[in-house]
Amino acid sequence: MRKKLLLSFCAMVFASLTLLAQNTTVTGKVTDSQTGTPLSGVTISLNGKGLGVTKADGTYSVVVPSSAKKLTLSYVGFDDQQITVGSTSLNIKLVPGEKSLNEVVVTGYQALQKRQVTGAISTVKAEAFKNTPIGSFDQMLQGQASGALIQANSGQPGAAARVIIRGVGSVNGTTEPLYILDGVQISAANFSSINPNDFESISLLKDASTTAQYGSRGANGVIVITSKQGKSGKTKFEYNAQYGQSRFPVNKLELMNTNQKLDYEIARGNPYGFTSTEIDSLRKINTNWQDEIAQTGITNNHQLSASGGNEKTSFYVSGALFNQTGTIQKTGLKRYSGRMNITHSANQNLKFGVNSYIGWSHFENTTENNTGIASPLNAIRWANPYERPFTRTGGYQQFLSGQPNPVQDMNETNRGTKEMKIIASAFLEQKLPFILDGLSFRTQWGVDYEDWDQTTLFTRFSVVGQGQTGNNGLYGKTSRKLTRYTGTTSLNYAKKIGDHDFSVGAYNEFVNRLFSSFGYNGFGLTGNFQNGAGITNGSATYIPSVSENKTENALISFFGIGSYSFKNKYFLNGSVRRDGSSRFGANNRFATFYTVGAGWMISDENFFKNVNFIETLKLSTSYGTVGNQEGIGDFASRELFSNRTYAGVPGPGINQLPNQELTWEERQKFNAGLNATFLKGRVTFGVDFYNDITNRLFLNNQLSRTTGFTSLNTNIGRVQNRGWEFTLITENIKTRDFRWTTNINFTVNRNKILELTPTTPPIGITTSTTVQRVGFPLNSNFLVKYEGVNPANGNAIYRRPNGALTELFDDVNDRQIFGTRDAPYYGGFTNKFTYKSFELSVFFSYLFGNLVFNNDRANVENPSYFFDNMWVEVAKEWRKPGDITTIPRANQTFRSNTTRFLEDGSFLRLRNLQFAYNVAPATAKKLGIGSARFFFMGENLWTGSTFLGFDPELSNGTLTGAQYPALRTLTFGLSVGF
Amino acid sequence: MKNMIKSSFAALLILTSISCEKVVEKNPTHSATLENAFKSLSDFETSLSSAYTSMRAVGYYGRNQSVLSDMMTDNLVQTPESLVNFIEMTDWAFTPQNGTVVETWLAGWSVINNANIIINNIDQFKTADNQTRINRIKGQAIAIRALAHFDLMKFFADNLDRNSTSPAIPYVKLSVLENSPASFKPNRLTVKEVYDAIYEDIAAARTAFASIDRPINPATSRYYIDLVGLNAIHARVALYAKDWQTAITSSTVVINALPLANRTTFPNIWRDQSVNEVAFASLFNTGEFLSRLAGDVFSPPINRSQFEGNNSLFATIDEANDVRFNVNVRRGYATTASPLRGNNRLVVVKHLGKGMALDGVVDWKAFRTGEMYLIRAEARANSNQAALALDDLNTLRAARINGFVNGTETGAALTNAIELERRKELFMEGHRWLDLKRTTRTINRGEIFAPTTQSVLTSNNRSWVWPIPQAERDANPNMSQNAGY
Repeated sequence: MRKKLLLSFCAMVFASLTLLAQNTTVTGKVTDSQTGTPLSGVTISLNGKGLGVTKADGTYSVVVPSSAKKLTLSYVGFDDQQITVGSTSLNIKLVPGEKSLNEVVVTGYQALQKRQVTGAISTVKAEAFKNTPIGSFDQMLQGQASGALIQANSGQPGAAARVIIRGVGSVNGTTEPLYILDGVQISAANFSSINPNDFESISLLKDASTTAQYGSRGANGVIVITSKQGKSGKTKFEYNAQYGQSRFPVNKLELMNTNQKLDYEIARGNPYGFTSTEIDSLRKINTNWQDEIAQTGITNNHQLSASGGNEKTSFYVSGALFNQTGTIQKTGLKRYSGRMNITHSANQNLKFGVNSYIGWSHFENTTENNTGIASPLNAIRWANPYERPFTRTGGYQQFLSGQPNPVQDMNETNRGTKEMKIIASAFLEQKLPFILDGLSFRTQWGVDYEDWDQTTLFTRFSVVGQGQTGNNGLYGKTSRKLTRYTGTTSLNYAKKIGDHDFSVGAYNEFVNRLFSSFGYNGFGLTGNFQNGAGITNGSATYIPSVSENKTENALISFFGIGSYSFKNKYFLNGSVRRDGSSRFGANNRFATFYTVGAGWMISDENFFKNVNFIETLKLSTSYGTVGNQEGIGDFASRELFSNRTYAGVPGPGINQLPNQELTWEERQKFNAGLNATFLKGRVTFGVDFYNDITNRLFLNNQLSRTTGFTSLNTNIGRVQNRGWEFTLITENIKTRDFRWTTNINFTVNRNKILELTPTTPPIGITTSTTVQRVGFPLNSNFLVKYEGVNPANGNAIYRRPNGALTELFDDVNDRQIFGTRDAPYYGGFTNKFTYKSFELSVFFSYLFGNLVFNNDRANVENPSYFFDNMWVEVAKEWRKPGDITTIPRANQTFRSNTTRFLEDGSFLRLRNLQFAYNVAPATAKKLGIGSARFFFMGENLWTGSTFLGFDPELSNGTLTGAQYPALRTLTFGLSVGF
Repeated sequence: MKNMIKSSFAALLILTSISCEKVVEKNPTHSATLENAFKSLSDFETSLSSAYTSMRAVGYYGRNQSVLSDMMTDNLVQTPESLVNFIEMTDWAFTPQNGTVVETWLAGWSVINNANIIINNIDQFKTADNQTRINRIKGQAIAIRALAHFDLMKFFADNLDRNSTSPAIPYVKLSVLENSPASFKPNRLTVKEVYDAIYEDIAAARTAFASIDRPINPATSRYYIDLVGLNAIHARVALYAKDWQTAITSSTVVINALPLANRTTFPNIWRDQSVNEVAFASLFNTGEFLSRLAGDVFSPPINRSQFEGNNSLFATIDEANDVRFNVNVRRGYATTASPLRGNNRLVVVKHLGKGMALDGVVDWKAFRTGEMYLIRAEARANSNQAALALDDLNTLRAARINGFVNGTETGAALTNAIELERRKELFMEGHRWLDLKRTTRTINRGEIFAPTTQSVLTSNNRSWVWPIPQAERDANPNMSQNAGY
């Protein structure tokens, strides 16, 4: 095999030699400037015309006309390098970079060179998130890409984030982007079973020209993930290992200690009637409840991968283990995963391959983001500091207030989910030159399969267990299966005629999602077994419950994608897609989405040749429509009757109203962008303006409750997201040994409701603390303005919309809009320093401009809750005329829906800090290894915020309670390549 | 080779285009649609379950139409164990945004809609020989519709007299299958108009129940509304309407059909071990619907006593001889080993559970004979039959109190005695707030303790009439708001 290649190569060289007499042959070797690794597949070109590529060992040999002065070397993930042809032997070191216009960008259906792109795509390279000790990869994207607002609501290992691309564009529909992994649609959840270290790159498609290809599913943007593929050459092994610890962050909502609490209780009349002797002995106890349930979290991460192949077959295989325990006891994520990607070329026209992944995870969690008294994360706030976790005899202490003991409910409950996830696809590509040169056929079928097994155990000693049927605990299991398959078949034709380069494709796609679940809850765990064997069967006291569900939806699409370029300077892309969804009524099932985009490489124009400080300058714009149908039920357009049982008789009861008119949400997207590189490529600047309008919003058309229903899902209303995205990459210092680069992104998003249902009153659609009103952003805070306390009588004072002060709380007429919960400004910046073999990278993420509602505070400031622990500031409440304070008198009805609990949600976070040492290539060689890297990594080490809680990062702009803050993790790791 | 590829490619294209329309046609398998929900009369018969289950919602008998009335008044006091979730209700500080008010409003209409689906569609399966079966099903649906309208009106209308012109609620006779939900925006009728419709429905249900194919309730349970239950509903409606004659007639039917339980049996009623004197009970059981209807007062599984008996009320009950003392409350009671706050607790034990169970899951005895005696006594006292009224009162007291010597109250003393007896007999049965509303319109709790902040509710306070929820008014501009909100 090797011989054959050599022969053909010689033949090519010979052919070239004969054609061009006055040629010279240039040879050499291309390596990575940082690691010294040989780079194979580097393109060597002359004036945009490819001359050859490097071989597996990095060597090359190209024939160059003697007139040529400069050759260009380009390679994915590295800066282009121009070399002057002088000698016939040139060894070149390529510098890793992110700004090459020849870089290939994957849109899912196509792989485009960056210069061909007419839309807005942010690409995040594996390097940016590699080894980040977070269980769910969506969280890793925070601050990495402009236009994407990513916030996790939880630090629980494996918890997913809320990802919003270019603003919230739907109310009842989903706002999650579409996730595509190697061409297969995957669930926008359950990422905890996916190993991100297998990813090569993640592209965020934001504008119409890229997302419209996904038609009905692309309205919220598309996240296209490609996994690593093997490259022909020597088999490379890589081993990564990482170990670290996580700790609970500082609590900014300081609670009373024992003395403060007892003093406060005495001031409020000693509700428990403690005697002075009792008080004296209680003062000696001061339990820190947070410490009682917290722990040092441990992260372990190991991965071994191998990749390689020959000119016919290439492969990538990996196996990984991720094990992370949380900062709260009995929480954690274990993941075992394996991947195998293989492609094979049977002949020069036929290529096929398989991408397959299997992940198994075990997720243990505690309840969070609620106001339940049995949640240990609430109980640590509410338990009095003079209570102890255990009695003298070792039993759980029962609190005077009746509040559950957090240690008891943590120890006596278990919530676990075991999940298996398989993502696999196979493709076949057949070039059809015997029909028409440039014609090819491709089909790919893939599956996203998830199998959950969720187990709940409440022993009879837990408070929640005592609240179950028969009062003696619960053991329950829910098994859920999701199978989504995606089949894409296409016929593509690409041709270059002179300066005209065009390609067209006709596609057919089919997506089917089948979901089923089965569950039971058994009761009466009175014996020793604390699992399914402990359920008491056949007893009228412990009647178990069983449930089952099944639902299905399907999508069928036909679409065409075309692109054209002239002189590799003017670009035109477009697509038309017709989609049919099973979710809608027969008359509204099909919809057509389209896009058109244009790009102009200004810097390639002759008149630009003399502009020296700008290397490249590109303008692009796109417009189109994209749809959304996710987030509403599979049968949202039908009336549905569920089975209701009374006195042992099941019968039909209506639970959903029909709306035969229900149809697609449509997002019109406009984008205009400018990308430029300056100062010999040391500065890259990109700016995009976008204006997206969602039409036919899925909105709850409010009904008169006399119908027995609150609302009907209807396509009415429009919302606009308009904004700017900025990216700036600079190489501040570049010397032989020292390099400092900065990467900044910033997004401004303006969200505005343009239209609501005609039946919506001018006030808008309200909830207890928010409003959706025309002219204002979605999720605007809607509260009564709190103005402190009247010193004369201790009553709370509110400000009415007309500016007058009042002591009367009126949440019908006096509520006003106070900002939005979704941050309008956000981004991230990274500074990376390289000195010889050392690397330091400092990555901050930030957001600002939002106001969040802190309901957790309402729970420790409500004076009626003084039987449990309180915020330390509550001791400053109004007691007597003349007291100047912001806390009203205790015996006034407490009102939470006021601006008293509204806080600035802005934060700046040191998201990731990494210090690494790369063993010098020579040393590595001596050790008999290819490369080695050691690193320290700190995650969320510092957060700047004024928010009164553990963590200002809230995905929905409100902290309900029971907050599990983001992990602060410090890890040490190494990566070795062979 | 070439041909093979060509032909298979062509076949693939054809295959995909043929299956296109079919693949996006999906039908639910675990829910029914209108086409297959009602295929026979049996489906309407079982659909009654949907109407009865919707009465178990927290906005209905699950809490707001049951024990909430006691929580809001002087029957109960709130304790340090309270989670204060209903403080706006118990402090009479609710606004049109209050969740409990909103919940109550919606729950009533949901019951009505479920009843209307049956009433308006069942006749499509009428044949020559199933009229009596239809009567049995439809009669119950009509009775439920009448009761739910009455239950809503009690809270949302001001003056509840029979001919009152206070704005009440709409009377809805169309279900979502007949009306167009998006454009259905009814007006409030006057209290009189709503009473007219309720009386009409009760009469229609009576007619239907006159000719039915088989008894509605078996001898051992009272989970469905039958003719006795309908009379009990009619008696209560008439009491509120001050239609004394109807109150007397209807309550007499129930009293004669279901005599008072004796003192041995009486406690068993509350453990669901006896259906004596129960006219209609809403079934609560763990298998179908785990809800502790008094869980917000006393939750036996977790021993949390959020509201307790008011000492001033229980001081008037003879602890040794009156069977109702220990049925209603117990001193120092606890379901776990270590009682919290020791013997200070006057724990409400009326709804502890079925049999020996201590889970709080127990039927809601919506209508029973004890109430009927008090309705008749009040009606008689108000219609110049004081002697008969006193007889009723004495009969009831003698049934409950060991060694009771007949009282001799007359005039205002009789009225007060009936009121006090209602508190003792109907404690934690959802009457107190409404009894005060339709009579004195004042509450005086006396000395109060945290977390309660309000002691006195005067007769002119807006809270006696609950506000129409703001969300309703936003969606339906025809719905006027009550005074003061």
